[in-house]
Amino acid sequence: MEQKNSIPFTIVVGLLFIFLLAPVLLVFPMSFSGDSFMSFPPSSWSLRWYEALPQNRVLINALWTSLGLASVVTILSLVIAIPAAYAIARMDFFGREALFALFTAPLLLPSIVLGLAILIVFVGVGLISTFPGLVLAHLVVTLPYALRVLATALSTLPHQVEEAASSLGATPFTVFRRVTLPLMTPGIVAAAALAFLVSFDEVVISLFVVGPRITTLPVELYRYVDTRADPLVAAASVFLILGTVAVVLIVERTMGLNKAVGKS
Amino acid sequence: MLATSPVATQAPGAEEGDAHLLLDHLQKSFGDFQAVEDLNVSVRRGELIALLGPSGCGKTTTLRMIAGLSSATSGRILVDGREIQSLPAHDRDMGLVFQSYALFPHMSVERNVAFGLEMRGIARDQLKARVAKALELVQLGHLAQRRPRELSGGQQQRVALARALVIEPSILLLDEPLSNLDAKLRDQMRVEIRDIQQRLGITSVFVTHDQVEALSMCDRIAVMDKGRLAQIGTPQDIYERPATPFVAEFVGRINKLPGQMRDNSTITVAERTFKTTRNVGESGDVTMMIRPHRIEMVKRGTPSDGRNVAHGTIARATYVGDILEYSVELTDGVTLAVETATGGHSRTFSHGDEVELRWSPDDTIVFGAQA
Ligand SMILES: Nc1ncnc2c1ncn2[C@@H]1O[C@H](COP(=O)(O)OP(=O)(O)OP(=O)(O)O)[C@@H](O)[C@H]1O
Ligand SMILES: [Mg+2]
Repeated sequence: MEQKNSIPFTIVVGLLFIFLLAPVLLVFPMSFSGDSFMSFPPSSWSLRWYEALPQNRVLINALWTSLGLASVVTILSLVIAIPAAYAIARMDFFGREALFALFTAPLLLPSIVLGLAILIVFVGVGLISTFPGLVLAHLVVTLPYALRVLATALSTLPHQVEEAASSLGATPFTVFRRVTLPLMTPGIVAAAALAFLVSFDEVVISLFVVGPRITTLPVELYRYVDTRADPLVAAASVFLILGTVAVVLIVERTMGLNKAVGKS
Repeated sequence: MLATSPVATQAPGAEEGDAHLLLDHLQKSFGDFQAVEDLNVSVRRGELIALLGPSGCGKTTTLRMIAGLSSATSGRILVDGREIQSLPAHDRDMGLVFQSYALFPHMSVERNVAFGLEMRGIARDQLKARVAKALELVQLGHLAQRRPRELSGGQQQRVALARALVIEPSILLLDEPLSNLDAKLRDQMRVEIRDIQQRLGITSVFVTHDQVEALSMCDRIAVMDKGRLAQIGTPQDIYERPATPFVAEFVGRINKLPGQMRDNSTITVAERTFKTTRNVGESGDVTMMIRPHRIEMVKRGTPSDGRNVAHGTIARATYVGDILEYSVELTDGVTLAVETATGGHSRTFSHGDEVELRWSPDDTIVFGAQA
């Protein structure tokens, strides 16, 4: 924004922020509650829910599953989306636009529809309640994000720089390795962060794929809240919030969030 | 396209002979738009040829085809008599200075210049020495560790130049490599480029729209107009014997007067008659052209020894350093531009002076009026 923000504008934005963030911030006092039920404000304070958290085997197992899942999904998203984005941004072939539309379509579909569709397909091939099943299901949602961010990063990268490298004798692969890849690093970091967070956070689609053998942290938290009403989830949420903030900060530190998401 | 190969050998194209680089009926279209049309140029080994023409006439498009960065719609490109259209850019051993520089933003100046040598597998110590020498040549040795974005436009342009020169390619393609430099630096770089080019015998194509650059540096000049070759020849050919009115007007300043041919060597321009030895078969309405500095300006009444004479009044005199530019109004409202060297013995005139203009029939160029 060019001109200085006016005072009323600042106030409106401030109020909006409070409105959006208030529920999230409430989680922090709640997690230090000494009560056995969620109530605000808590009648007493304690660390008992932080002590109870590591004792809960179900949640801890789900956490490891989610971390592993998000890592695998992130790596696969990059491995698939980098060449795909390169092909879409750099090569001229029939059906290029259509392919991009197809890849990014899941962004527009309601998760519940996607989840149902995945369930129908997976039941037939025995992928329900398996790790590969979860990976595939998550890829459906993370790939569009990764592809978008990487395609934006590539489209802002001047093609002539790559041409300069090839005219200096670099083979296409060397051009990619020495010029294209380093220049799209900010985009790759952003795509990785986004894929990781989306996978780690995913509830709706996971609900259709998890089963007795394997389950994810968001799904377990959801189930926990469904059956119990103690502030344990508040303590878990604090860690999730801090983790997310950490990822965003890393992205911000490495190259500025705006640049990573492709703005300005 | 029609079957081009039999046509290509018959049509008057560039002669193959001893050409190092040959463009043969080269054509490039973007959709319906013809960016380059039927271009025939033959460049000898070690020759520096200028590609001169107005903005948008297809100079960059031509270089990109030679470098292998875009493919010709039709026609052939030959190096040493071998067609190279199917050879990828990285196998062509050509150095290209991009009009937009196209430096690697994530590498230091030094790494930028070293890139081409690394691709050629040059040993480390030799590489360092050559990079340092190239940077010294463009006077950027002290900025070797900077990133391109920390350089001025002219400095970036010199990095681009060093990056292309350092690999000592067999063919050098320069796309307005000096456009962003100040006059003094530009003169120095012209000398450096010419020196390296001649010392190593690098066949070079030098794109410019600066005609002084083309005239002073290059062995030959190819003038392009709207994607076509208007004329190719030595600087003298282009300047003294322009093939078309476009070339005459584009290369150097020139006066343009409408007139009629009376006979093969006599033109009338609004009741005046002038002699020319430069008419090649034009008759009827013509355009007469004279270079401003080929007109001598004297006080009235000096004997004329058979040259063309016109009388007029100085309407404007402009001092531009080396030369004085006059605008001289002839009695019937026709205006001629005249240039004289400043200093020395040439006399200066000022506004309102009555003068006599004289020029040789040999300098009186004639083109058909419709052209
Ligand atoms: N990729 C493209 N798509 C469509 N038209 C193009 C493309 N590249 C160039 N052109 C057109 O082709 C013509 C020649 O362009 P080119 O860049 O070769 O001009 P130029 O002689 O280098 O001009 P300048 O002196 O301004 O650099 C221009 O009219 C331009 O608009
Ligand atoms: Mg150009």
